[in-house]
Amino acid sequence: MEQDNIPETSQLKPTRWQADWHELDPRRLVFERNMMTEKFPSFRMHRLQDGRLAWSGTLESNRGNQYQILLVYPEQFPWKPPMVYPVNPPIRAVEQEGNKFKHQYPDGHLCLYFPADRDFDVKTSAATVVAVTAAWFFAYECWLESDRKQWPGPEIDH
Amino acid sequence: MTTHPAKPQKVVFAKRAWTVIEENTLEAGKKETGGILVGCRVSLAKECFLAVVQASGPGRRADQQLYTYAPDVEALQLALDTTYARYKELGVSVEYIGEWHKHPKGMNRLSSGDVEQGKAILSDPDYKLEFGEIILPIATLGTKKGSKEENVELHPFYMSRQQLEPIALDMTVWEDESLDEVLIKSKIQNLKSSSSPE
Repeated sequence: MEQDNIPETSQLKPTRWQADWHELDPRRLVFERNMMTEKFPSFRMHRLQDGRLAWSGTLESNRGNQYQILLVYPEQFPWKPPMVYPVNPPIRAVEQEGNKFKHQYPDGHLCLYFPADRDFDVKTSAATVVAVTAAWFFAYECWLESDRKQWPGPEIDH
Repeated sequence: MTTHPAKPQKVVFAKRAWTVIEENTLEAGKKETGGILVGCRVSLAKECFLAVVQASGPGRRADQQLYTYAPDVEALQLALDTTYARYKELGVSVEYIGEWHKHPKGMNRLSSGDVEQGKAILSDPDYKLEFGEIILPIATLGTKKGSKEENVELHPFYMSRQQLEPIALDMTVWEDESLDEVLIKSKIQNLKSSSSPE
């Protein structure tokens, strides 16, 4: 009989319960806003479609090149550092030989820290990350000028 | 026409349900955890409350992170079906009545993501919510004054299809037998009132 197939109880669905870092720690959000407004006043805060908070803005290198970036706070912020994506121009820092990315992850976000160096800690703000990103672009331009052979400064293979 | 019931005055947890929540919260440490609540609405002459006869843990395959948690839905379904069958034998109908989860210290309210998840449940026809309502308690760890030992605090929130903004509810814990007795009595009372001539 068809009626036998009707479940007696609710049919539960997969759920996810999550709290955003800025809801857990609203004072940290104020700190982040203040730091960015002070150091990078042209940057604007956004909420991405998936609910994560992000900053977008443009950096200019010593050589006068402009880079539009998107800095995204991860769900685990401040325990994990923000991720920075180059938006315009789109950058794929691929080495001369092979398809290996140079200080960039396959999804496009820049490799700004070596975790073991502990350069990023829970007190590091987005403003510091943007400053580190500016240094990344300087190194990137030097690397391009060296015909993708030499990255200035210390680096590890990854 | 269906009449919408009034907001319940409180939530009553059976001791066994409270113990499951307490133990799982303490075990989880800094990570999030949670589970479902099984129970029903109880309407007595002078009061109306939500009774939680059983709570589940997150299930073995749950994804438990620092700020986020996704339960093992198969384990939760089993917990619901088992409790439903046990109470059916007593002649009492219990169902999924909501979901509890843990938050980090100090965050004793629902997050915006939690509220959205609650709304999704309320609008899902696969959830047999007789009165179109759920409770979403938040468990947090705290310490009592003068003690270093951690204790569990529970902050229940009520949402319904008519009341999508969560409202805090009072709660209390009863002995299992006392709550079961009230449920059976209320069932008999309802049967009498529904069979009496108008």
